[in-house]
Amino acid sequence: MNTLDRSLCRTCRYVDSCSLTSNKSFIWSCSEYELAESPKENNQPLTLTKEFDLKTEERLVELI
Amino acid sequence: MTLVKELKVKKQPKQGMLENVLKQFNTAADLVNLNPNIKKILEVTNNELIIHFPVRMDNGNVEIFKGYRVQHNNALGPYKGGLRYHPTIDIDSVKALAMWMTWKTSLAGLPYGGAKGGIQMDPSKYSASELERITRRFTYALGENIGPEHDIPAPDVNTNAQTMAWIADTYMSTKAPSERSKNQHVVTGKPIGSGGLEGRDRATGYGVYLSIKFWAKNKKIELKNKTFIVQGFGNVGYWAAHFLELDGAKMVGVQDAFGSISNKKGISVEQLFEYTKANNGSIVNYPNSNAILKEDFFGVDCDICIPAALGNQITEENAPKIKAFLVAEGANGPTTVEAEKILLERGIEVIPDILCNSGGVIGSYFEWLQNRNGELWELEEILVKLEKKLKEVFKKVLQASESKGLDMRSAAYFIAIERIEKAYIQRGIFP
Repeated sequence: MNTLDRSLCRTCRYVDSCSLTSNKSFIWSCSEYELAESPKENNQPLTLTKEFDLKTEERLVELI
Repeated sequence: MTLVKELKVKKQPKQGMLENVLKQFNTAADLVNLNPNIKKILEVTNNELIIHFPVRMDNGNVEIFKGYRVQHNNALGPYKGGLRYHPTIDIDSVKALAMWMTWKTSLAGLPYGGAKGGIQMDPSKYSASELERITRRFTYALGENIGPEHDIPAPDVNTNAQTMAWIADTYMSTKAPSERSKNQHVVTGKPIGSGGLEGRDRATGYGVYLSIKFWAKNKKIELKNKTFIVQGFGNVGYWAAHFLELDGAKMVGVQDAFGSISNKKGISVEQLFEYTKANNGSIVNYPNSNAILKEDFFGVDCDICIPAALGNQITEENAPKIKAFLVAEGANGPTTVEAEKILLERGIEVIPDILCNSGGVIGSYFEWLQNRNGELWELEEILVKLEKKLKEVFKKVLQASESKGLDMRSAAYFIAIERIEKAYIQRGIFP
């Protein structure tokens, strides 16, 4: 079975229509590779995330 | 099934990337008649690091990530190799890629060893700020396992100049204020404003072009009016075509993820590039060209064939159809073993990937040197240095190929492995 479990193609936006190769199983390097979706729109600064509750967050951090 | 029975069930063998790289190494080692003790060292990796680290997501939850850094060999200098973010990476693939880097840096005559690493994840599932935190926390977790004189990561799949800038900033922030700026070269591939190298984007493609130029010069062939086809119109394919066109060569065929086009009268590289920018990156329906079947692409009549996209493209099925007299491997592993045999039998020469696409790692070396010496190099100066460096390497491969009666790929591996062997023989093994 032609699985993409171990191939770059798995997350490539062109995987369904790519004309470069029909065997997309073991691709580990490709100049045409592009990530399927752009990252979620969130360019918040790293300081405090939305609805950051210092007390709760601190406790959670201690638990890690 | 009982628990014991379940535990005894062996996992399916993994994809053979590591096996392939080891097989290649063994063939080359036999060719060099490599010292058996040094062979023992080179067939294993020096260090393999697997790190699990927590990162807080935008929604407040914490996710645990698995990061890798494999350092294969540092006989010639600090470890060097990319960091990729992808769900499919695992220890075996990272080991194979690290080993491949050792041969590449050695052949290029750089003072580097080989390494590779990354994080097992799908970056499309994370926001920019999450990716920043993941990168920074991974850098912190790597700690002193990376360093400007120890192990120097670079961009790879799904990582870019921004990722490198985050790594550099995080690593430098862990140092005392007076030490920070002298650690900038902990990574290469940084943005130009943050210590990056001018022209790093074109370094690999320029190297492909230079390899073709040196080969042609050696054969006393003029590049002017020679025709070429290129598979992949990304950074490597585009820049290689750009420089070939400047030298008077004519592009007669292109293939990308969307389709294949050809025109025996020539396709303007710059006009096609502009067209792709306005056409979602696709070359399809470019006005001055004909669409061709993907199966027919490598059979397009031309002098030079440049596979610059992905592996296993020239196979025993299409190798007999290739009309070019030269194949320049811009991509990694584009020609299968069987296909290369056919090409060589037909008198078609192959400039191997390890040599042909080494412009990128040489560019990284220049960035590292630039930062290390506190300098800022200009583009023209960089291209001249790249040409000089690649010329030396190319000459060595040609000489080895001619003097030992080897094809260029075997000659390249011969030089790469022999250089490491020499370093071990000179230094000996501690204690």
